[in-house]
Amino acid sequence: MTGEMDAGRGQGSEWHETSVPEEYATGRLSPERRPSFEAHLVGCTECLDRVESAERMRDGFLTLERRTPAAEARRAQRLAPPRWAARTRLAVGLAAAAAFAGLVWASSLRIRTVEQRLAEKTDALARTEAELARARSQLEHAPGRPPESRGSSLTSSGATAVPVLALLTTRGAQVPTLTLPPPGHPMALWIERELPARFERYRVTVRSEQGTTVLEDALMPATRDALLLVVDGALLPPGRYTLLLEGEALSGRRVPVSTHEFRTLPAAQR
Amino acid sequence: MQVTDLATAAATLAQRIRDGDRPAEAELVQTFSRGIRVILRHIVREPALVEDLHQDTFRIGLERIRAGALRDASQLGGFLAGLARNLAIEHFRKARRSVPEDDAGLDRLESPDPSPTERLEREEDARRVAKVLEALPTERDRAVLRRFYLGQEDKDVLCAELGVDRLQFNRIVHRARERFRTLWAGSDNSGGSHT
Repeated sequence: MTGEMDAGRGQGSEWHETSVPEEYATGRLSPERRPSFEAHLVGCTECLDRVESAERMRDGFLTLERRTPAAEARRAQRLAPPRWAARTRLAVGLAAAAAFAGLVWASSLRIRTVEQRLAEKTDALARTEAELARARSQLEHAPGRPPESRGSSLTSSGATAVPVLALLTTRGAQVPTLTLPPPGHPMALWIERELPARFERYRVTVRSEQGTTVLEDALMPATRDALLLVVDGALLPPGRYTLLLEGEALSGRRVPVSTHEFRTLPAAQR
Repeated sequence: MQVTDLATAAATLAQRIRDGDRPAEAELVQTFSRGIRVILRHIVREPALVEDLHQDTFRIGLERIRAGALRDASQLGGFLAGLARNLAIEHFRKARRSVPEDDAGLDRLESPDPSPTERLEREEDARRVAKVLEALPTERDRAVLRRFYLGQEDKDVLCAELGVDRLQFNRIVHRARERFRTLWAGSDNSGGSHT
């Protein structure tokens, strides 16, 4: 039966004329094409041979790469502190905002039962909070920190809670919606990373319904699960937006990761 | 085998399982076991976890087929592939919820250290890859392969940057793959005529 069910001889043999099996093995096949290729792959010995061979080649390349001194240097460069860490005020604001967001989220958990997906977001956000609290602590002790940032209202524990909008790659039909904070206050976008994660740097672009770019920023992952973008609520006035998440390849090229639609509502509608 | 034959064979196998034919269940596992492992390995790297999810895929898959829950029996492979992927993703989600906040826990979850056997295999693979690279005629071909297997750029971007068209690219990847497979099969002295 194994032979009789071999899809390689009939259905899906168009895959064989391409490098799709190798693209799959190296994580390049788009999420849209993956299910149809896997449906073919699972019963096709030729494609299975090619995917396994490509996986072993990739492992071989990785092992070779690790032996070269240049690779060490590249890895060290990739692990260097993120660009945003140098921008102390922004980083402190981001850390504080995330901490407040985490606190608000955590408190709400104690008083009500939440659905499974919400619990997932909360856990990841708690880890984000811990990561950013550590970053804040490091920044507070970093030399050369501008003295005026110490008095920032964002670091005050009595500040207004930061609303957080979670953007997940798998979501329902409803467009995620965030009620804007009062004028002058920050809000946070929690953006789920791809699974498995492939990039160490990302670029986020937010466009309005009219196609105007309202926000563009480079980000490092806040946790293994997510990116956290904290912005002034005034940047995203009530309306509908599209967020494009791109990963930055080692060469600096950008690779699309995900696209999210979301909506913001005026504070008065809260 | 033609598309219709393949679909018919899948539908027949599913029907036999619904009818309680135990050898048909073994046949299903034998047919799709390797493919399910490859799909799972693509998502989770840890071998023990791959094995657990592999078992779950067939356990749940067989239960659903027996119960007649498979909507289109001709798409048996796609059904199992989708089930495996969903189980793996669900496992990750659950694990993330239950993992403590320390980073070490996540490291254990997502990047297990290779076993001594795996380490040896990787060394062997590295030796084969080095031989494949040696046999390539130009530095450009070596760059194509290195960046294809180590980088994350899309294929079109790679082609544009390295000045090769899609046909040339496919040819380089194909030849390297054939050479690697020859070496893998143990024919290391087959010479460089593959290029």
